[in-house]
Amino acid sequence: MGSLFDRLREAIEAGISVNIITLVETPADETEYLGQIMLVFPDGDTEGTIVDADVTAAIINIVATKEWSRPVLLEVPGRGYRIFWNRSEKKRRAVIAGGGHISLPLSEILALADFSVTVIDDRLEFAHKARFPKADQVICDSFARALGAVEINSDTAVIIMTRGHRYDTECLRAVLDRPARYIGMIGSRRRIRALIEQFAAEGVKADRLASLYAPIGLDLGSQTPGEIAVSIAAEVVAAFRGGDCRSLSRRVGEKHG
Amino acid sequence: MDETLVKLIAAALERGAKLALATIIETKGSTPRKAGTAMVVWPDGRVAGTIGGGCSEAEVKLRALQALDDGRPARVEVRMLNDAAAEEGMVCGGIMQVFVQVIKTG
Repeated sequence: MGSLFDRLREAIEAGISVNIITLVETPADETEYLGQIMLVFPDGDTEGTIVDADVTAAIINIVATKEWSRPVLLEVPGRGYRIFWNRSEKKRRAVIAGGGHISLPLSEILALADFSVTVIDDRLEFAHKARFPKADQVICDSFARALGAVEINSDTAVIIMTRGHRYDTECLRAVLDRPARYIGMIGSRRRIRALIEQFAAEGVKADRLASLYAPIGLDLGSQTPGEIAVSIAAEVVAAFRGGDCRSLSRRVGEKHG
Repeated sequence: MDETLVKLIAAALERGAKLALATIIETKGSTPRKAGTAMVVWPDGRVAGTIGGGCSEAEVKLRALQALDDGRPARVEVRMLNDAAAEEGMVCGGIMQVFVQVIKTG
């Protein structure tokens, strides 16, 4: 299985999501096949086989025709096999522009929630590893240059909260047309409205501006830097997990615990 | 499967190590983690990742060590609704199916 996991690792590093198929049920006289793994790449390429050419082809057909929603147990039509269809997930990343007093707790909370955190500031005293011990990367450079250099993909959240309006605008300009899962920016409603009008006048597409989370965070009534960081981190998690941000006690249906 | 576990498994296979991968493949009712969550168990008993912690995880870990010993995959049904679970405070009330497979080179 060495080459299979090597290819899986390469794909994850390249940002490609791979279908991982595991054979988890067989007829009683074919248990030697149990645990076989096969990869199906988005371009249709495969690695590994399950049982034989027929079953492998049937599985490729399932992956090609069924819509993926979440990891699921499925029957392969015909001979009594069941497979578990999973996908590889790239580690989620959060890029925080600005190394100020809210970034401190935010970098720690997001790291606790399994995000790989990058902090950017253009002042050395605000952008060093000792200030952000839980961040994987701390970059001291101009915001536009640093944001231009970091990878931003559909597994990335970008949080803009620099020390000033001018720098926030610079950051937003650098990331607005990048494929981030979440782009949030701190600021008052009035200031953000003015900024959005300015960007719209410059010809930035309306859907990009509408997808912006600004003012940033959930309405928790937050006052302190730590509380504001919680409200931002909660909004980021919800954007990745599809949460509706209401108290579970206010929802009808199943509860945890 | 998340990036951390994939990298850990790939690195282990490069060293020629053997390990067990335990994956939640189905859940019914309320369970702490959902299908697709996995953990790795090493022959010496070390664990990486979590499928929910507590007694259920300990049970799966034991079955994983057994799978490493006899070289065969296993299916574990973890019930979180019986008396024993309630006594231990595992009050989620769900059932999860865990598939344990042995991962090695070759």
